[in-house]
Amino acid sequence: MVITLVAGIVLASQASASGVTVMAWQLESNFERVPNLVSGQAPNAYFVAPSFDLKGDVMSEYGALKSNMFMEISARVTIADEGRYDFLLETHSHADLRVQGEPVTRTWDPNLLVRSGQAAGQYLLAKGSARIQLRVMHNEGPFALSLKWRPPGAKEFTKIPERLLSTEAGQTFVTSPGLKKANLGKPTTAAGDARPLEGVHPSFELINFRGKFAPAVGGMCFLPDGRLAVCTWDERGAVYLISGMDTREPQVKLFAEGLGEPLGIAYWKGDLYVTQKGEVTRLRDTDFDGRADEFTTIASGWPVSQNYHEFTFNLVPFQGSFYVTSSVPLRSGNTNYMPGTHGSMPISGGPGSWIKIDPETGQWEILAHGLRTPNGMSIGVDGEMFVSDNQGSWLPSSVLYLLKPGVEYLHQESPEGHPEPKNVAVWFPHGEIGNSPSEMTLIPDGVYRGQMLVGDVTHGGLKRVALERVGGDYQGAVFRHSQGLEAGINRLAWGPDGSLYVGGVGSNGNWNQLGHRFGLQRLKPTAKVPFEMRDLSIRKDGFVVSFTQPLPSTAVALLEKANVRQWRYESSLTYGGPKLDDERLAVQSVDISEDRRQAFFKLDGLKPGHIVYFNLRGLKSASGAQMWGPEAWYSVSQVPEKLFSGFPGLRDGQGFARPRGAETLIDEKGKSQMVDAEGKPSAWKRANGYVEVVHDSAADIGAGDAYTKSTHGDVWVHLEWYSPAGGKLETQTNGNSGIKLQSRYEIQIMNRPGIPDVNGGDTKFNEAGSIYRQTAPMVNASFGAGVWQAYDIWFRAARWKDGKKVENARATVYWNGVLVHDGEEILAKTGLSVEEGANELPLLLQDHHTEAEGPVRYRNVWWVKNPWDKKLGPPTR
Amino acid sequence: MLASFLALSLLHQDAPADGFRVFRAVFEDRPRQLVILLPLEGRDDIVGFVFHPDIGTIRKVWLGSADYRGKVYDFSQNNSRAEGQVIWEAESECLRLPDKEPSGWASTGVRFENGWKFIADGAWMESPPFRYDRLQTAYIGFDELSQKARFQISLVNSDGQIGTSFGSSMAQDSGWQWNYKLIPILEGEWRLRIAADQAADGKSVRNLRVFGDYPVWQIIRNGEAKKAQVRMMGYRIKGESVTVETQVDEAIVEWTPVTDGNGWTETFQVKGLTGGASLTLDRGIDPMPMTLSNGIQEVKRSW
Repeated sequence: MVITLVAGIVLASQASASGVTVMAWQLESNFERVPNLVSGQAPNAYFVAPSFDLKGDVMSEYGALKSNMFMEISARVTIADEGRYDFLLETHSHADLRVQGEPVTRTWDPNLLVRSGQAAGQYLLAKGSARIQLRVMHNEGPFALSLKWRPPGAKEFTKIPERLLSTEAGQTFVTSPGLKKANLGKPTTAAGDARPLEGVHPSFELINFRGKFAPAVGGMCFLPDGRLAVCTWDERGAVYLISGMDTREPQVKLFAEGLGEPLGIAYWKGDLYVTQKGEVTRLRDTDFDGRADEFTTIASGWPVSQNYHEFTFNLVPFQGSFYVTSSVPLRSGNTNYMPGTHGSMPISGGPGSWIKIDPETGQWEILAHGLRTPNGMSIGVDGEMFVSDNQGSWLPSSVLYLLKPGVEYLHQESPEGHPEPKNVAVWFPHGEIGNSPSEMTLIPDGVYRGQMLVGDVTHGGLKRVALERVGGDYQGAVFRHSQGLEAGINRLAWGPDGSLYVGGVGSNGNWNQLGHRFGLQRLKPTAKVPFEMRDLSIRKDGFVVSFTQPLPSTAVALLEKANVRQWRYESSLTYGGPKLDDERLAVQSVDISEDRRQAFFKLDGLKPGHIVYFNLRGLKSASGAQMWGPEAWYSVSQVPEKLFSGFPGLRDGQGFARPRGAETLIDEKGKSQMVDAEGKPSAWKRANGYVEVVHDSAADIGAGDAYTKSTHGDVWVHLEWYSPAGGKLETQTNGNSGIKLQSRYEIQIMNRPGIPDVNGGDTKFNEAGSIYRQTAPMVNASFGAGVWQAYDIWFRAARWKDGKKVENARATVYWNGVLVHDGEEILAKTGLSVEEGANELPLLLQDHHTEAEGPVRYRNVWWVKNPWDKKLGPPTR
Repeated sequence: MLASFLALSLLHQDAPADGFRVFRAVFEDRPRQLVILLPLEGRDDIVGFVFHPDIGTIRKVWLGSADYRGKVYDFSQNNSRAEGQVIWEAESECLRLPDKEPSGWASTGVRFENGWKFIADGAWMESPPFRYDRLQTAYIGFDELSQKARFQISLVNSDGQIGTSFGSSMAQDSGWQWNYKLIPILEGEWRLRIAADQAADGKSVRNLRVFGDYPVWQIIRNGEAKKAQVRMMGYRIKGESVTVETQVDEAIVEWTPVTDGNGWTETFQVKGLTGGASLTLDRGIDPMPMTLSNGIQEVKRSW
């Protein structure tokens, strides 16, 4: 087969050097043909060889690779004369060859090489250059490989002259130790299980909006008018202002250019500020032509050299100050601080620092140092600052640190000493859940509120981090969250529309994801919540794992067989570090909470300074939903003294405690203060400690709704209700009632819950926990049919001015103590309710036709009017 | 197909336009440089100015073009440079190891072969005495080849005392690797000594030099000259004109370059000097330092 190919286009500006790029991965198993490497894994070795003739062991920083070795070998070859070129590959390993992206033959017998040691192919190549790529699987024995060619007119195969071979020059290739994963054809695990996810988390919808705008995003922030400011880490060093992100044709306007590697941007007190290499600069458009014309140096002077890796990252305005970070130099003699050597800037607190800037005076101070490549920085849930740092020398894996003044982090600045890990919130085990973490952002609401999302430039996508405080310090778990974005993620910004905007970047070497170098996309919240681990909480004797949906009653057997491991890292001069003392932790037992949303894994031998890995492969929710990524990596800085003491017994109707001054509407014995529509005592039936709706289902005639005697505006209502099993969901006859706030806005009561998400299924918003026909609960917090349950509703009435509604009503709802609506806006009256208006109306409990096994019951209903005025608002989290 | 895709992906957002351009970059081994490119009427090339924020004035003027290098340009670890005819460049080197027959340098166990090769055990080279204490910041720079041995680089005085010393390190074994080290400013005469810790095939050095930036601004008050504190405050762009604002001690100096095709003009506007004080600017462009007082001063130069 002869393949005709067009010669490659090579950008004149791209740096190149003679030779062949070789990357090698140490696989965890052998393969009988060339496998597919699981993406996101750094090679064990990278080097430039002079030619395609390779022989002997491949050396890496972590030792020789002799067996189970996968290699990618590539170069460009100069084609002087157009014509037919024959290639001859000789090796006893499995290999495939591509020239200009085309295989030698499409039906190449993968075992041909192993049997005969030779395979050949022909190509018609045009003058210019052609790209040659080899993938090799070497299982065992001496390794040797040779690629020869026979140019047009030549009689014999000869070595490809070294002078004709070129590859990328001066690139940075991240390497890491350890065994890597590959597969043949169909992967052996589901996406997200020991390999990257393949899509965006169900709580978001991915929206492409950038059109032809292709920014390599160095920073992002929103202006008060809703425009998105993006600075670009590219040759133009620009700032763009983007509007109309929700239209097909967003407007992209160049605001500034000529900035030196801007990697942070912020809007502060009416101006845009950018972080350039070694400087924070204010940009102003003084003649109002839409382009910045005044570039004012706000702060500079911290140590920075010409080394390409001395970035200045981030720009976080916080409490009147700006914060930036700087990274250490790489290569050129400055990569490592070996005994007896010094970096380019032997200044204590030099590169690799957390820097605080007074934007008014320009004065700066280094608050902490020992950082390596601190590409992301953000404010955490408690108003403390966190930074992500990238794996490399002295940093065995990427990490999320809590920033504290005066701390010396892991990247050494002098040959002396050996800093111990401090303030590690989370390790991102290399190649498994991160390679190059970037900016992080707090999740502002919903089930994951208070957790963080973290971007990653080379592993790609987003990771979710859930922290807890142990012994006063943060530690916690990281989970897979999203993949399938158009580039490795560098920056994150929440838009005024509630969407998360993700900005991508990349460069040569392997500092990119899948070779992509730019990207800008929008992640629109969907309110869907997949089944997954929400968070992990450590005890001395194990972990409490919280789930987003209830577990099946059969879960214990599976969880007791869960794959739980622990290992540690050690800081050293080596680029990255291997897992040390890797061991499996036997699950001694598993307890499950009554609401089946939590499981306690009893584990022996938890050790501080270790990472504990959970893989709950095969676990499904009670409703049969698959897990969205069954893995979690928990970084144990400290093992607490606290033992697991059992899950608290949940009493039926659990809710919030009654505050002093609350007014009783129906007491705990069923004595009711409710009235009917005419103001007469409600005819609902008082029974054994409750009242129940009176409704003749056969005749579909009832006693009518039950009203409060007085009206209400803002209010906290607590009610306990019981919806018996039975009835038809489709016809809304399954234990249906409801509480209507101001007789206008209904929170549904039913024996079936509203379902926030069933892994892509339709959201149900007509059932229990829902704001009727408007919004499903964030999570299913139901105890089930025929069980007493509780709502605590903080209702903020709509605001009216001159007869017009100026603010919608809002509701925060806890269902059985679980937040299911967080200040949710109620857009209009729900269903067949009273029209909206400025006047206050009574609260009502609904009389509804039902075909369940009995009527809906109520007890212990009380309210507090104007709770915010009494400092009785919903709990802050 | 693949090649086309690669080309497209590399182009991503549109590249800077030719002609007038003001940009910040690591330029010729110095970070944070403000580079101003002014087009020349009727010519393809430009006149380029490199404004160095640390010294508060330009350090280079050239005719030609800019060779854009570095991570955001060609993805390399090099940095951008001027290409063409250098009109003027500030002195910055105090010492350089020549490629051949270094006058005044002592050595043993070395020979020149595409750089100085350290071929024998105990090989070393030592410079003649030199001073560098007029610099405000100083570096030792060099290119190094081979991981098989390490260099120890020291400044020693005539008494044999070591002023500063450090070992080199290499990130990879193939290709020349550039190095530079910030060194303390030491008064007096020093010799630069470089020694390999062992003989190794191919262990070489080239471009060994001591360089840095000289302070150029002084403030004169009551006849007394004092080195001025300098801080670049920023720049303004109007059309194709750029003005750089620098705080020089108590004064604000606005500097605007223009070109008419035959030469270039610098306009200095000085504000804020009090009590009869004046500034001097000694860049080495002119035979005598410039003296600047409050007001506007223009200096024209031809190519």
